[in-house]
Amino acid sequence: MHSQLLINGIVVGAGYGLVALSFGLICSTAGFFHLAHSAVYTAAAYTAFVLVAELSIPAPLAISATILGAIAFGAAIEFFIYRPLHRMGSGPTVLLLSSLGVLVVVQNVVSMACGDSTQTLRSQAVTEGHTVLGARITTVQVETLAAGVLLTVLLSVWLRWSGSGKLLRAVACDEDLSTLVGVRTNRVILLAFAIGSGICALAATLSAYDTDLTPMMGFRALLAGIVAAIVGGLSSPLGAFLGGLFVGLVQNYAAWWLPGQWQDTTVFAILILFLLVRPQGFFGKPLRKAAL
Amino acid sequence: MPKKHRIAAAGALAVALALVFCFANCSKQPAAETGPIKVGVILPLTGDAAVYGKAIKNGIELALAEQSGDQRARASLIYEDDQGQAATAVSVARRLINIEKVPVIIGGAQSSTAEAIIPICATSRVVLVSPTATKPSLTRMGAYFFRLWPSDDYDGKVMAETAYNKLGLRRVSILYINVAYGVGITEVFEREFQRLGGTVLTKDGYNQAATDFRTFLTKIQAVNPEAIYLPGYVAEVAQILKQAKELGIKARFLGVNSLYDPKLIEIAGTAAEGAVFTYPTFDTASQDPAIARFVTAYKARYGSGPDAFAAQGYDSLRVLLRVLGGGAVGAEQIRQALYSLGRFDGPGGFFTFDEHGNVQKQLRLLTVKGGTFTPLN
Amino acid sequence: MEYLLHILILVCMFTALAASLDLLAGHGGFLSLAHAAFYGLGAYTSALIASSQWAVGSGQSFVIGVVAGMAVAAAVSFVVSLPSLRLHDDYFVIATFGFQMILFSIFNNWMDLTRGPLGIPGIPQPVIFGWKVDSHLEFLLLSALFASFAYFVVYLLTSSPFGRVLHAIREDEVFAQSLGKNTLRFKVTAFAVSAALAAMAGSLYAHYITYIDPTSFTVMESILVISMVIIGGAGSLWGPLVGAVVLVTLPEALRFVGLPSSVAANLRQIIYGALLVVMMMARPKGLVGKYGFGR
Repeated sequence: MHSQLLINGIVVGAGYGLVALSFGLICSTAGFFHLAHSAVYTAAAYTAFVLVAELSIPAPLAISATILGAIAFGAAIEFFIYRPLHRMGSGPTVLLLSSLGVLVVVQNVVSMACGDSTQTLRSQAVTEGHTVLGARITTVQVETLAAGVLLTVLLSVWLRWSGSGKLLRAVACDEDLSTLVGVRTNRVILLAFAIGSGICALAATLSAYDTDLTPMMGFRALLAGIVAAIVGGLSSPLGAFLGGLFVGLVQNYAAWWLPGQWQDTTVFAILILFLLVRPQGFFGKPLRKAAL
Repeated sequence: MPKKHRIAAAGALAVALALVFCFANCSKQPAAETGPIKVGVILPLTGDAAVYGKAIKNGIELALAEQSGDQRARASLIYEDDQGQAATAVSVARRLINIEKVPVIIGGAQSSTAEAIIPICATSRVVLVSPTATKPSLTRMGAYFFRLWPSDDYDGKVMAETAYNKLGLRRVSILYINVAYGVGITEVFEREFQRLGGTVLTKDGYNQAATDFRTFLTKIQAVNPEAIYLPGYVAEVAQILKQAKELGIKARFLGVNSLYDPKLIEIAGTAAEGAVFTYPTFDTASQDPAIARFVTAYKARYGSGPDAFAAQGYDSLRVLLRVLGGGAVGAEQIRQALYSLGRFDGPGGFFTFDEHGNVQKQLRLLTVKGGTFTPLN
Repeated sequence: MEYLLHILILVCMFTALAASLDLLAGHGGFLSLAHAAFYGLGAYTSALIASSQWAVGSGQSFVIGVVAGMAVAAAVSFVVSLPSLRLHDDYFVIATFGFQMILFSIFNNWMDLTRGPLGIPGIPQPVIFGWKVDSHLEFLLLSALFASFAYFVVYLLTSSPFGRVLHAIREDEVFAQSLGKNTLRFKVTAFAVSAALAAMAGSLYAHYITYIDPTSFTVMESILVISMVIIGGAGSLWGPLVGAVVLVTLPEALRFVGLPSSVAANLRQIIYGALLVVMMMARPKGLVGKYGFGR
């Protein structure tokens, strides 16, 4: 039983980790909480659904198209909404609120276009999972875990050694200073949105294959993703992914030890605890004190 | 505050208030004696419960479309969205009652929203017909309330007795949705099942719109029950069935009557096989011509098969049209006509109302066999 | 007519909520997402007191409920504010969001106390020292009284030396500290007053609707109140009132517009979402405000 519990936690956590990874990349670079990230998530999952289930396009092609679409969508949100606001001198709070507006709009457009009932893009019959160490795990779950590990490594390497990755870290560290030394910060932020949205689309598609689609799916996924990113450290891909695993494990162990309805509560308790004790997360750099 | 802003503030206030007052007054002309009777409809059309509200709405619209021209002209429908929230339900109920002056409302689809608007309907003397609210105490709250779905008392009891007597189950786990419906029916089932001599091994609630149930199921697997009772709605229960199969759980699944929905089989596939549900007489495979006609018409109009919510919506408007067709106009007449309805046949099963407005309806049992809902022998 | 009175009563309740949040958000610069939780604390405290024997016996269950609700909210506010106020900007927002979710799940899951999702029905209409508030008009009067009280408290505080320190913290906290002000004390006090006033509105809500369940106190309700403050204009005298009027009447006005019924509900939400974005672009300081949440 306990190996199953462990696997449940890790698999759910890998999904959170993917969202946290992509969210953390955007949040640390752009410097605010991009809640409309969950709109990208929902929109991507439904794009995959339309392509796979309604238009019968082969899955690999459909998923690639979905990821490209999400990249364009994420970049468009930054370009048409956040950038003008940013230029006007709006702070993170205003950007957070406007991202909420975007989220409400997209969620309702999806609900109008595809309905509120659960949709599925799976075509195979439901079968028992593979047995690993006495626990069951399905193919999609293995894929999610693999995608999580792979992307964490890729992203870490890219951020650390590539030229564009270094620029991204520079902007994340200090936007004004980067501008001063000639970095085109707007482009770098746009890049972060593009990459983050692409990863987010992959996470959404995997989750759609695992637990199907509803218009509210993005918001729930992002809540866990945000907590994971804060726990692990917003600016570190490795931290965000491990944060996801941690949140997944805590959530599942909480469901095991406590009455089930308190499951979500524990996640927010972790959030508070981390904000209190270590707001920069496990792997993050210490936060700046209030700017003088 | 600079003067410019003060003017802006005053302007915004004035415009907003003027808008509401204007609209309120514009639509205030009293309904002519011969005109159509306004029927208010309050459903959760956005939010977590939107999927059920929209299904009910589909059923209502089908019922209206099926009427002949002059019958249809007898009722005009006004839809409002309560977002599944008690406070919004109160706002829209007030609007329907005071501005639109409806004598009757179809609404309060969830027990929580029903609970909030029943007192308002009772004091304003407006008939409230709930297609789906199940909380037992609701019908004791006001004399103008009718419901078309059997109360939790009945559903939970039927399943407890079936599980114990008919299926011979003694050790059961419960996994319920943490909203009024799930909590209410769990209480009844637990009480009845234990009274009969059965044991409830574990009891866990999950939040609406949750998608990951694996640890709840692992927890249940650890106590190895003979069956798992699942009071909830289709969206989550279909996921539970799917994930249970993936985890290799072999226990029997018991459900409630809101699960009668083609979606359940679409999502859960073979994982739904063998699950047992209570359900009103509504059954898409039925030979009953009234039901067969409803199912065909629904498929032709919406492209997919109806679920239990659609059937409830369909029946709630049809029953109203019947009493309106009988000449009832004011709320008082509609209420009396509903009490003395006699037997009413619809795809949601035949029924009458008792003196509290509770539906009297037979629940039957069904199981999933070969990918379709079939009656349980 | 009851409908119009109902709208006005809602406007009053939300004015009280928005004004109390504005003390913290507009004047102090701390945007709390936990306001609905304090609103709920007031509502639940009042509902529970109204159903307890001794309070009903005393005949003053409404008054006791309001006062107790405010006290409970103020007490809980310390638990929320002491940790949250160490954080800045969006980290503060996220921390209060976490507290909002925790308090909501307590409303939703502590069955023995709150009856969870089943809610508490049958809350009586208020009686205040013999004045039985049973008509809509009287209720409007009472709500207006409550809203004015909230406004008065906020006005009094913000136009006093206390308010000036609060403004200084909003503009530059380190500077305020360097003047020797114990900024934490000011922030915690503002938070407590804000929470207590929200709870007062909550008590009123419980006695007005007569039925409460957790769905009225979700984070979406917090966001609604924040939107009121920001759309109206944060940190200004009339901002919260304007915001409450606009955001309460707008959805109601949209009900009268003949949108096609199949999409009306979603369209209303879309308009609301789009409006939020457009407002941020067109008037980032709100309709009548002076303070924008800038960098």
